Amino acid sequence: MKLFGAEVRRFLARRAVVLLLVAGFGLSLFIVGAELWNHRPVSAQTLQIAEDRADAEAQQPYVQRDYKRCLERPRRYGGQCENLLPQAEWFLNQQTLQPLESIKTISLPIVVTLGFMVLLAGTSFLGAEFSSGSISNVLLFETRRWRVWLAKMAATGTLVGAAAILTVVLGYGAITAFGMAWTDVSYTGDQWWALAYRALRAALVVGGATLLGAAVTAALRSTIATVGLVLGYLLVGEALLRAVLFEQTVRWLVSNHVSAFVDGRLKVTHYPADGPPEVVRFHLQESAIYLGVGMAVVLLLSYLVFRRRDIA
Amino acid sequence: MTEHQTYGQRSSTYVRPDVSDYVIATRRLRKVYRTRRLGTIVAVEDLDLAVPAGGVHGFLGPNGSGKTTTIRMLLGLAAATRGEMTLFGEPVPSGLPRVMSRVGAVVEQPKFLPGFTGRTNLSLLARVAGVPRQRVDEVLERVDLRERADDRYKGYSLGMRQRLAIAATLLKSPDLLILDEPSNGLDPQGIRDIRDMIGALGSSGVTVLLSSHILAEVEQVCDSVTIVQRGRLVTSGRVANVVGGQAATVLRVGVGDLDAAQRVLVGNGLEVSRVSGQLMVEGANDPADVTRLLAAHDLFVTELTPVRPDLESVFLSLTSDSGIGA
Repeated sequence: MKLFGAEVRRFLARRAVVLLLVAGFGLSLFIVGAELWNHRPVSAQTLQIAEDRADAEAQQPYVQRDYKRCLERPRRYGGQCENLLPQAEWFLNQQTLQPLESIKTISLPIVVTLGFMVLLAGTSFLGAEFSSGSISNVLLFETRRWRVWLAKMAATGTLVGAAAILTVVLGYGAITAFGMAWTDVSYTGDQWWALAYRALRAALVVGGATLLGAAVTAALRSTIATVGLVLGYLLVGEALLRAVLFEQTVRWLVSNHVSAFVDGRLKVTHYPADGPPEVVRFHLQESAIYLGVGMAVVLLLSYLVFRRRDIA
Repeated sequence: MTEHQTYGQRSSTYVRPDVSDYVIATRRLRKVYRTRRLGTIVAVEDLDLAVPAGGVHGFLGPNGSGKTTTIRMLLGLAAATRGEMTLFGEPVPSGLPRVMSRVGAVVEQPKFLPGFTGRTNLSLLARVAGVPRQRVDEVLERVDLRERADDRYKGYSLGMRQRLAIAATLLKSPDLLILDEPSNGLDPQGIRDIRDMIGALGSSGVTVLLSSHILAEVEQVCDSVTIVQRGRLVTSGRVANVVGGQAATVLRVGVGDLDAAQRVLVGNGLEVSRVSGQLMVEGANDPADVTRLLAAHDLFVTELTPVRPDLESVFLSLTSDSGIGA
């Protein structure tokens, strides 16, 4: 526990790590703010202008002609003739806030942005230990490497996990609170649980990203090597292979599983040059297993390398 | 360890030390590095190191002789390819957790997080070791760093960094101190302070393993010494024995007619050189032989002084095919 406490202090005392966390938090709140801004209630003046434009548009001959035909043969138009008349919201740039929809929209951008920042934070935390050589100092005070490795991972995961939960709860909470204030929306018990479950999954992905950064750096012993590996995967795996070998790789790309895990499901449609569109579906459970097993393998390899290799 | 042993050509009767009898002991220690660029490098080969309890033990060798690698293996930072190691009788690395609370060490240059203050760096290590916080102030005071303790480590001079590293070793109140070049970067006063501190620690019962390339310092402060070269043990023993046992006896001879005296001595198979108007004579078994030889040719000595060899000359003669270094 004292080792864990020391690692927590070491983590929080590192300026670059704290700056990355603050940047991730700030960017996440920016995404939330942008979503709220795009769905803010319209002013009475703006609404009046939109209503006037809708009324004017409704008087257009071609609109009246269609409306008249609809009234004469409603079945031909689906029976909803009022829908043919221009509505005020057609002339507004912002739509009414629908909290659950908005949360779904912002979840992945927040996870990707915050996840990338905390991945760098985890990498920076471990990388600084190796580049400064202070890891050898720690091992002169605690020679059991498994304890040192575990304390570093636990400290990183705990602190970033807490920061991720705070960010996600604040973000989702802000959307929900404003949604309730601006509209008459209300949630059922199931919806609240689904929201909490989604927040937990988002926080888990963010926590996993920082552990990934820390674990890979514990093995490679270099911040640059880890960042290079991640960028290499994004370039080769996510971009090149997706473009060239889509059918063979789509099922294994991490980004698809992250999307499915955060959103609960994912449908990817592929349009081959010679054939009908193909749909690949990802489900929450299979993506959870994929990401969980992948994380476990990375952590195990990281520990084995950290335990075996000489410390410079 | 009362006598020195030289292992250039090990005799068949050589008995390896029992590793459990010493504070530090290694037996047939070997370390091989394999690199893609340089291939296989044998850093330490068949090394037997035995450091008894108490006192200061010097650990000498040219650059790349395997000293730091040996120290890193002893501290669990590097794995041995083969051989046995013990600290306080506990096998390394399996027994290290039981004895590391008694060991303080600085390996190569000081290594701390540059963005943290000296105090924060020590506090974090103190926390790992379970040492009370006031101990940090005590050791900072001891190395005369208290006034700069709240400055960032990256702003420290080399000497201050070295002092901070020594402070870290003292956090645990160790029974064994392993110091790898502790005087690096220190000014003359700092070197003297460190030397005095090492001497005082050695006298107080702490065992100190001092790896240094300042041979005069080693000779002044160390009770015993081990010299290694190319990963192998060259000699080991008490400093006086190593120095006395390795260097040929040299006599400084003052005489009126230097040319005549030199001819006589060389004619009798002795090695003679001139230094500052005197003859330096090597190879004489007994100083009386020199006076007798010269007197037989009516040459009478005005001075006859055995020249005491120092550790530096011994070190250079034992490691003459490589430069002096850490």
